[in-house]
Amino acid sequence: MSGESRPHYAAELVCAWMGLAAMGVIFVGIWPLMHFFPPLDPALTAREVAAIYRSNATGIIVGGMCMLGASSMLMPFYCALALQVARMEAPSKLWTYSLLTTSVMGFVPLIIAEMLFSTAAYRPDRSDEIIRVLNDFGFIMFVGPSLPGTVQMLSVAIPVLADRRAQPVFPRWVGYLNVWTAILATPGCLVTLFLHGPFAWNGAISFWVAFIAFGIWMMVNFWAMRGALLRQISAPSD
Amino acid sequence: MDAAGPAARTRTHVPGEPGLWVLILGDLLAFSAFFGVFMYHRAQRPALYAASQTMLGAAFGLFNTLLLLTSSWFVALAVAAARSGTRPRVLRLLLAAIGCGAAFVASKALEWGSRIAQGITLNTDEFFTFYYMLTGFHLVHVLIGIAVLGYLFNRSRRPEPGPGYAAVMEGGAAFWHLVDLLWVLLFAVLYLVK
Repeated sequence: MSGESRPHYAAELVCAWMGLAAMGVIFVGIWPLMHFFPPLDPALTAREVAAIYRSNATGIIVGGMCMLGASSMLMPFYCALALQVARMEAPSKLWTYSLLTTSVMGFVPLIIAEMLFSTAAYRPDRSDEIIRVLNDFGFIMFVGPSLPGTVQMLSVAIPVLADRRAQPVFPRWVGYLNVWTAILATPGCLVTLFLHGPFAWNGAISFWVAFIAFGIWMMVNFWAMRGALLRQISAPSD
Repeated sequence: MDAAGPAARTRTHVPGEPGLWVLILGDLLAFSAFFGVFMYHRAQRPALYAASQTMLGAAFGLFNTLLLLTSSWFVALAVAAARSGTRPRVLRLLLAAIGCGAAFVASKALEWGSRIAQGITLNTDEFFTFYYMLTGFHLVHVLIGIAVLGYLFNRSRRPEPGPGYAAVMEGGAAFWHLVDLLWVLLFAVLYLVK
């Protein structure tokens, strides 16, 4: 390809950076605005949960808007990642499609979670029990759908490890790291079994291990994408 | 990436390939964190954990340990056989290792089944939550490991296994040894530590 394709690589690089920025915005929404980091304890009584929503209704709604907006900004990030996967596995498109569909599948529940939190905060004069139902539903939507994440990470890992070119698109260890984070994401799907302890939705293993694994995943894949794109910009070959 | 270059390879030999160790060491780190969380919770209620551990008994766990140690030995022999080029032996040994792995899965199903029949389930108490979750998470590793051994078996059946064959065998074996090592640690932490 000629130099004409360079702006297209530059746009992908912007999308990669936008993904990091979106994660930052989501974090601002969840932490200082919603005060949901770490998530509310599932063992709280209906009265305690309702009191939290009543005292911070605006923060929860505005933080939810941050989550909603930033989740959409993450989609171009996943598309840019999918274009790198498409390079690795060309001419097949299998893992590219798998990555794209599981990315959407993983983030739609996050948007619904945000809407449930906002619904609970929208009329804080509602009964305690209804607020707690919406809160439960929200956190189950928020932490529960971890298996789309697992398949999404494997959809990156497999083409990275199958990449046979002399200068692989992503370094091979990035493929193994994707396998590692894919495995660590799995316990999240079991949160509805537990009301307290390390496997509940605010637990050390379901939440913290998965959160740290996702953070590492994001940084490493961003770094690998950035490297691949800079190589494409300096020597556009494929 | 540079560490994987030919210059580095002559100095030291990394089994499989260097990148694989991101997964192996990462998994060891994750399990260390799980054990840390377990020990922390256990220190809060030592009497409950001790009583539940006695109910658990070590018989199944010991049998599982023997199965995985045996399968690890078969895999190590298979790697050696692959190096010396006796392929029918590689296939037999891999099949034996896969058999031990499958027996581990069956034994785990029986063990869980008998606990559930006793009325001990996931939320019986904190100890048994850890028991089911940690052994279940390990079981996911066993299933992945069996798939890896299956891949090695398929690869070893090819008429021409290709230039990376030795490294693939070593890498797959290293992952299976990890599955074994994690079980031994899990066995000690859940079933034995007093």
